[in-house]
Amino acid sequence: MTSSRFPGYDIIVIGAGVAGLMAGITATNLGARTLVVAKGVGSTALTTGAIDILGTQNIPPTRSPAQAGPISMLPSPIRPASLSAALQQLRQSQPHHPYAIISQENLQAGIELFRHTCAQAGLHYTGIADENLWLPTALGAVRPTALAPAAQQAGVVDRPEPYLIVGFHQLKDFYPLYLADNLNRTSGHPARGIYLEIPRIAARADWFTLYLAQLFDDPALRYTVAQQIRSHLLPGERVGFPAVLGQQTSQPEIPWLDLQHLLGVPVFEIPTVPPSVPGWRMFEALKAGFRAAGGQLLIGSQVVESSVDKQKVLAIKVQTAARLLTLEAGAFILAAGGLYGGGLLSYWDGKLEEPLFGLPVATPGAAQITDWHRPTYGAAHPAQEFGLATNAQLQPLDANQEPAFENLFAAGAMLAHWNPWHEKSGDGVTIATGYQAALSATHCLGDRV
Amino acid sequence: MQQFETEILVIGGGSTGCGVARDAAMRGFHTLLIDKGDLSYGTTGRYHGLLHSGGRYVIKDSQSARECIAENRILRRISPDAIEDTSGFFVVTPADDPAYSDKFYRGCLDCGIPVAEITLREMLQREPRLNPAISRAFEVPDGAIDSFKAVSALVRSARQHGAEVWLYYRLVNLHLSQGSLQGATVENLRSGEKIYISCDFVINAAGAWCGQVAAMAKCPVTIAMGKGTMIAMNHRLVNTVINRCKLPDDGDILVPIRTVSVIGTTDYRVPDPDHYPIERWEIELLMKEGEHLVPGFKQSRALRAWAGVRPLYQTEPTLTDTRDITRSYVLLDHETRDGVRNFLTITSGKFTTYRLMAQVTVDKMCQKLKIERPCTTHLEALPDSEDHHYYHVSHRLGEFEAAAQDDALICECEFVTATKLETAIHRLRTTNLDDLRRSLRLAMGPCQGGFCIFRAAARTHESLGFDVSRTNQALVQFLEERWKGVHPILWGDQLKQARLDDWIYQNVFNVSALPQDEGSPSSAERANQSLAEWMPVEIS
Repeated sequence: MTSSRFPGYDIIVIGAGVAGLMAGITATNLGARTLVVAKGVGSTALTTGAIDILGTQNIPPTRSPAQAGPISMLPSPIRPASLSAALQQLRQSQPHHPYAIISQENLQAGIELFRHTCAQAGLHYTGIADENLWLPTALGAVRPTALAPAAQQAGVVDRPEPYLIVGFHQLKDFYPLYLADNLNRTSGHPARGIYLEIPRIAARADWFTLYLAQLFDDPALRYTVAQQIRSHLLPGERVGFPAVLGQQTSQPEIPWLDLQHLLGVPVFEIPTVPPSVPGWRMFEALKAGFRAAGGQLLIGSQVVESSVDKQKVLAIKVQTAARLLTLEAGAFILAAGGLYGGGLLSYWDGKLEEPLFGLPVATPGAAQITDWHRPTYGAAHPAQEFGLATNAQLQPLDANQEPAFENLFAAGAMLAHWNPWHEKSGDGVTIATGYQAALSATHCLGDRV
Repeated sequence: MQQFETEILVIGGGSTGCGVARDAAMRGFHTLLIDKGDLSYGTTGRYHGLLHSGGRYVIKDSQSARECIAENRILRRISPDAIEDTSGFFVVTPADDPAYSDKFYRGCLDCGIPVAEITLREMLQREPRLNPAISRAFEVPDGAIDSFKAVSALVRSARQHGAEVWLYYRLVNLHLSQGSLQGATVENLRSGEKIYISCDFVINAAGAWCGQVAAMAKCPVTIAMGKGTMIAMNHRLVNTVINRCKLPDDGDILVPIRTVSVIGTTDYRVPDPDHYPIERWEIELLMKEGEHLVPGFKQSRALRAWAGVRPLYQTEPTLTDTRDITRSYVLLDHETRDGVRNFLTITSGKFTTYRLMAQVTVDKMCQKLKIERPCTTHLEALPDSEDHHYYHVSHRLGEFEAAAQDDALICECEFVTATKLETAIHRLRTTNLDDLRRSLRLAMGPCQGGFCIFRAAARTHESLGFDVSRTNQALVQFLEERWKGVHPILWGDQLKQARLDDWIYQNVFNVSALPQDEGSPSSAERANQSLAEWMPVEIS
């Protein structure tokens, strides 16, 4: 096997999820020559496309409409208290949490950069960012989120319109009648579901969201679907679709806006199980933003090895189809995902590993493998918070709690001490830590940039 | 109280009870079988699926070995649709005493079990993943049998012969009058309604629960419960049943069944047939033992762990090692034993010998009732087995490919189509997703329900129209039940799978915020679940 050397980069980011791409965009904007290298497309296409900052934990008062009864019976205003207050409380009660490491200013700056980048790609995010929106899920529960794509916005439970939920016989991942029966209870609004046939494709065969989304890029198909809906629509209703309204990347909101125009009522998308079209759109927008800023993207190549000395990471080796590339940089950002994404590995005997640099994996709350998961389904499991421990600059720590390398930083799901499932903090943490890691890495480059 | 009359009441819907019900019905007795749960809910649905050749018992328990090979031949004749003809190897690994293998070989010959030593070259050709350090290999006619499918066919056959099968009916009491069993009170667990059943004879085939049943007739029966833990490994690591050539011990067998391979088992005495958690030492033991058979086993993906309890009749209440209790069946004649007439208990034994157990039980009953009717269960093939074709692992794929254009796959792992699922929902009329799982193998593959179970829940809701909170409860209950088998084996790929499932259910769906407030089904819903509607779905 031959090796070749590429001209060095200022910063190499390992991983192309939200954290990696946000780090790449931030670093490029700061003038660093940046490469993002990733084995695959990351977990972004699993997400709802909405940005959770802090959903359930420590938000006073917790007033999920589902817990508190029909929303119409709640005193007004029904919005939870401000996100910044909840974050402040979290910083005090969980000093190791990534939000406690990162300043509120940098969190906000990261979120603003994300919004700006997506808007440049035609994907607009709405929300006040200091309050949670409550949006319907594909089973008809409601969930809190901080920023929603514009196409999901009209689903919020504190709008007054009754819901008409439209599903398609061909889509096995979306059940409008079941959804509406639940939504009726969880939102307090009347909700009903209907099934339509998508023209041109077989009735029962196996269709997935991404393919249906491609069909909705066609104006003629949208027109036919709107015609079908019009005969069912009652005055005053808003219309919810599974999130399959278009897959094109140049103007991703056009199919949604067009349907809204054709129907003359508010239209919104409800995110589905993976593959999630809104997650995919977000991924495309971030990639476009990174490339537009001048960054280089290498997807499909796994980083297999690192070359280090006592203080510094010198280079990484990347397996491409033909050969092993050695890539040098002044600083490195590790955003390869956690135990789900593949940046961390686990074994039957309880061993945990960060394979690239041999960094220790922190296991808060778990002394041995039998502690990794609780016997109760849905509990907060310690393994959900396993990851790398870092300092305030997001430098991963070695066994002595010292920075492992002066030019290595970590971001996203690799980090320990946070739990996206229970906190509903998924992309807030990934955006903020991607942003912060790039700031720290650029700072560490000093005069080089 | 509603009354019901039958000649024979069978308690227990596992392989033994269903075998008894079929046998009795085929001999012309009016027969009713009840179970407090679903078919195969107990030990029958929780074993590894080995169709014994008898090889495992040739040294320690030659009577069991002879029974196994005789029944193995009969089941291949009457129940091939549930059997995969995998064949079986007994292999001597470096960890095993080589002296045992000659004894084993002679033992097989003595018990009439066809046995042939095969060359190691042939062994590796047929099973390339086996340990190359294995020193000897013997082939015997082991097989894999799908217990859900076999029991479902037994029940259909019993019904064709006039038997009734009531599921989710709990035995409340047995009624004794002057030393004779006259009947029983049972409770419909779905409606809460109680029914008095008068009958001529009661057969207790309640497996791990048969001591509790016998106690209702004041007959003390001590059952030692040997918990056996198993792990389903993803894919078929082997296509032949692989046994270690040694006295039966923990973790010494690997059974390829359907789309997985099952490593089993442990054997550990437990006090309660309803609660027996899987312990970490069992997982470690099975993973380590598997490595002796298949190098790299510990790096393979584990899908799920589960345990069943072997109900072993204990004559001596002080024996502690359940492996030393006979695996042969035990028929208790409560008239001679306890002075209670019209009552038999059939227990212990193993799946492979269920038919023989049923035969001797019904023979004994005929003798007591002074009626001469010969057993015919070995002569008539079960439903779907009439064409004498064995099941083949690629069967469902073939079936799906033939119909792929017209049907959506609801469970991609196990090839359960929308049509199959909807047929099952309408016949079972249940929101209980675990019943659908046992009928269809829904959610039994690698993702353990991650992608299919919300689809199934939504379809039960949209088809049956029950209150939505009941559907939500069923969904959450299923997730909780699956978790019991998944959390002990979460590392590597299956840990990733668990996080993906978390992602879907906790995050995308936010299931914990679904309304689950309505506690019990309405009376209209109960009426919809009349027992006559219950019919196991054909699984193919």
